[in-house]
Amino acid sequence: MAASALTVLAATPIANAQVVAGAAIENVARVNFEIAGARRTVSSNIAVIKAAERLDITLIQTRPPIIDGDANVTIGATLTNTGNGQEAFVVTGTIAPDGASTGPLAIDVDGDGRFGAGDTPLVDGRTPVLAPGQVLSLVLVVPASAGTEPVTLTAVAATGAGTPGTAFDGQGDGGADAVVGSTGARASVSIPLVGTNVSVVSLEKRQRVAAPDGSARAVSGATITYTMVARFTGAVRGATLEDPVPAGTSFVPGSIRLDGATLSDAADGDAGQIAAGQVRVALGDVAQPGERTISFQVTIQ
Amino acid sequence: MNRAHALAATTAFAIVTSLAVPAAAAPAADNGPLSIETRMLVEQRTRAADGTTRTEQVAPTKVVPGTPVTIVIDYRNTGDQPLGGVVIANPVPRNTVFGGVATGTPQPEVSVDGKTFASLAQLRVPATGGGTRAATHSDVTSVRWRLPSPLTAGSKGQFAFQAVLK
Repeated sequence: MAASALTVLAATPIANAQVVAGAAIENVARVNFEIAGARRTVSSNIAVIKAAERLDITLIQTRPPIIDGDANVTIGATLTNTGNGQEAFVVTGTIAPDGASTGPLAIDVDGDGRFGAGDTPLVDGRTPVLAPGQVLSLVLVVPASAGTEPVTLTAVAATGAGTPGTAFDGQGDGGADAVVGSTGARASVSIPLVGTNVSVVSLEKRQRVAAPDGSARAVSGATITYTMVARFTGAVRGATLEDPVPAGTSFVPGSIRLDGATLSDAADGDAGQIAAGQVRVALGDVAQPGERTISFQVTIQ
Repeated sequence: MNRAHALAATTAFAIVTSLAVPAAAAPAADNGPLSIETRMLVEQRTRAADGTTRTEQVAPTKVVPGTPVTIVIDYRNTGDQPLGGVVIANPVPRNTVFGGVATGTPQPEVSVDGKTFASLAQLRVPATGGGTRAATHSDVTSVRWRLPSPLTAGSKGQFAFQAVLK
């Protein structure tokens, strides 16, 4: 059977009110006085300072990791440039205890909380340049072979990091100095993969074959009914189930069911749709432990 | 740490005059008989061998958000007549917050609307949710000093205050 997976959603942006790096701060004073019975005003020179760049970052895990039916773990995190300059960051994911690397680390472009074709893998862990206050949604896949060791996700400002106050002269925006802020321009989250931190979403998938002759032989013309039971041990946001229509079969129109109710095939207001060879059912926000049952049918060609 | 509020409460700070190299500044046009110049400095702390900390005002570098900047205004009567009714005004630079005056600088009149000047304690501003509240340093948009008596020929003076970068 082809693998199916569950997905969840990403986070929200943060406003930034700091003066931007490289901006000119200007001061001018004026004096008004009386001379020969008239009042006059004289302005001073304009004194100028260039605002330096402060390097700061926050990195937070957006929700508990999701384990799918194949025991792969998807971790979502948001990285925010909390400094005042244009800055790229270098992100790495390692698995305790020997620091082995994890699977793909990507920008969650489509915001679906999982690593898919629409997402952009990071090359050497380097993000694009982020504007001050900009938020980047990241997704990391840890293969089942990683076991249950904690995963550590670390992000560092590309210009430099270290003790707050460390300066990188002239390396900030517009040739201004760059100075490490209170976060050290470095952030790290450690994510245990077991225990109450994890919403285990298990997928049990079964199939039942019904051939035209009444037997259960998988012959041309037989109908396969796939039933997936998604069991949640905790709350999950924006859960979506996707299952591809297997090669060599064709989808039976109108066969998508969620907990027994029929869903329409079109991408309309209800939770189900079939598109581009994928059956997709939006389970929405699951607030408490429980299970949902999804089924659909295909015909063997 | 909100240094602006700490300065509002009690202390002022001292500046070292004439030794620091000023921030980049274009020279003022000679409009005589009253010359006025401004420069900006930042505080630098150095630790001496005996453990004490020495604080001085130096040319600004590494001015990141949150850095307090010292704004210095020097004025002088370059003519041969006394000048009366001298008023020196300085808008608080955009992207900074007023943080109090230096030691030796008298309390200025301040404005929160750019038009009316008074002591900070007398001013009120609209409060979120309706009504008004007492104005604070962060509401100040301009500061001004009125010399109490005419400035005699050849006399000079200096005012200094702090502006914290947003």
